[in-house]
Amino acid sequence: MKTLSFLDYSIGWAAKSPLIEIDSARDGVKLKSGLHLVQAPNGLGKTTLLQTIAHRVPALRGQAVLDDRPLQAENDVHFVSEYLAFPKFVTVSEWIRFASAQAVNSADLNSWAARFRLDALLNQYLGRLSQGERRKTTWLAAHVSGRPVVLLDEPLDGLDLLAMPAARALLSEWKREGRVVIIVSHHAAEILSLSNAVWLIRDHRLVAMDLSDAERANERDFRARVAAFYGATL
Amino acid sequence: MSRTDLRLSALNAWRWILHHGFEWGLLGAVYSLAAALLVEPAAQHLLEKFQAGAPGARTVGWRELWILIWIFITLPFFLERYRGVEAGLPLFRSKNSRNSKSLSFIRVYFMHELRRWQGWASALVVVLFGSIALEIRDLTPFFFVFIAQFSVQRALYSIGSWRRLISVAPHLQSPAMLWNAFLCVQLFWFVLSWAALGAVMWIEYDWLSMDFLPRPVFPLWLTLGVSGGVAVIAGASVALEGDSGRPWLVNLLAFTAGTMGGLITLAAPIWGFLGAVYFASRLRALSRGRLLSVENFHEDFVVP
Repeated sequence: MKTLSFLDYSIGWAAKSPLIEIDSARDGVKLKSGLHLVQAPNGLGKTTLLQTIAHRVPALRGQAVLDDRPLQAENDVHFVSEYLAFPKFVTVSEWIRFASAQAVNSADLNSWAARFRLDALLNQYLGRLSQGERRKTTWLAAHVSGRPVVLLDEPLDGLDLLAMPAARALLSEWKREGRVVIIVSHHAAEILSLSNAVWLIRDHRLVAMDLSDAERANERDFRARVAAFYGATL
Repeated sequence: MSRTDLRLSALNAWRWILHHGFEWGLLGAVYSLAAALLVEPAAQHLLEKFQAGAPGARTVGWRELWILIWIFITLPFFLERYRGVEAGLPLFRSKNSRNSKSLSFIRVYFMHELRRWQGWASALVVVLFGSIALEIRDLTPFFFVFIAQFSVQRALYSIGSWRRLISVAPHLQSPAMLWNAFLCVQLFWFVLSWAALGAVMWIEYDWLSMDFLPRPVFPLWLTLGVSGGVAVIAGASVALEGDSGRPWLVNLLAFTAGTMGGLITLAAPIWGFLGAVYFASRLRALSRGRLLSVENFHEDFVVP
C-alpha cells in the first residue's frame, strides 16, 4: 500500500496567489493506493496540481511525499498530459518503449494493446494514427512504466466506446498493483464506480467528497452533488 | 500517380509557395540583413587573416554576405516546412516487434530524423553547394562555413515542436537531452555530407585528372571539416535560445554563432575549436529551465 501525502505544499504560478495549498497533517489529505478522481470547475488548478506533482512546474513551497520519503518525479511518477505530443515518424511500440522508460513485457503489452484494439498498429508511425489511437498509446505507456504514481489529465478524451472497457480494466489492474492513480477528467461517469476517492477544490484546498454507493452508481446524482458543492444547480 | 494527382500536387506546391514565399522570404531578408551586419566586420577581418600572404586576396562585402545568409536561412525553411511529401522513409524499422528494450530520447530523435526525407535532402544540398564552392578556390573554406550550417538551420524550423513535445512528454526529460540529441544528429548529418564531399573532391581533383599529388585535397578537406564542424557545433548550441523556439530569432542567433565560430576556426583552428566547445558547454548548462514556459503546455500538436 502506497501513500502520497503533502508537506506544506503550495502550487500555482505566483507565490502571492497560490492555486492550491495542501498539508496532509492539517487537512487530512492522504492519497492511498487506488483511484483518485479530481473534480472542479475550470481554472481552479487541477492540471497545475498534476504538473506540479510531476515536477513539470516547480512547487511554490513544500514537497510531496511518497510513503516516508520525498517523491522523486523522475522515478516514481508517470504523467500523461492532456495535450498530446508525438513525433510523426516514430512507431507506437517505439514510443511506448521510450515513454515508459522501462523494458517492455511484450506479452503483457500485446495483451493490453489487443484490448484497446491497438495490436495491429504497434508498428505503425504515430503520424498515421487518429487522436483516439494516440490517446490509447498513452494508456499503454503508462501501464508499461510501472511507476507507483500515475497522473492522468483528461485521459478519456478521444477514446471510443469500445476502448472504455479496456481503460476501466487497466485502472482496475493498476489498483490491484497498488499504484496511486490521480485522474482529472470531465467524463467522471465512466470511471466513477472505480474510484476510491473523489476530491474537490474549494478555497484553494483539496476537499474529500463523501459518496454513497448509490451516488457512485448514478451519474446524475453525482453531478448534482458536485454542482451543489459549488453552489450551482443543474 | 495519375496525371490529375500530379497536377493537383503541382498546384498545391505553387499555392504553398505563393502563400509562404512572400511572408517568409521577406522575414528571411530582414533577419539575414541583421545577421550580415553583425557578422560582416568580423568576417572581413577573419577573411583577411585567413588569406594572409596569399596573392590577390579577396574581400566579401555585406551585400554578398546578406544574399548568402538570406539563401541559407530561407531555403532550409522551405525544405523543412513543405508538406507536399508526407511519407516517412521505411528506415531503421525494427523487424522484431518483440524488441522490449527501453529507448532513449536521443534514439527517438535520431530515428525520427533519419526517416524524414528532409534530413537526407539537406545533406545532399550541403554536398551540392560544397561542390560548387570548390570552384571558388581561395574562398571555398569561407563559403563552406555558411553551407555547412544548412542542416542546422533546417532543423531549427521544427525545434519549437520538439521543445513542446519534451515539455509534455510522458516522463521527465531535461532540456539538456533535447540539446544533446539536436547537436549529435546535426553532427551526424554534417559528417555524412563532409565525407560525401571528400569523395567528390577525390574524384574531381585526383582520380579523373590523374593528378595525384600536387593538389592539396586532403588539407583542404580537413580545413572544411574542422571549420564546418565548429560552425555546426556553435550554431546547434543555441537551439534552445531565442523566442520560445519559434523560428527566425533562433535561426538568426544560430547563424551568427555558427558563422563566427567557423570563421574564427579558419583563422585560428585550435582556438576556434576550443572556443566552440566552451561556448557549447556553457549553453548546455544554461538550457536548464528553458522549457518552463506556460505556452508550452497549451497546444495539442504533432512534430512534423
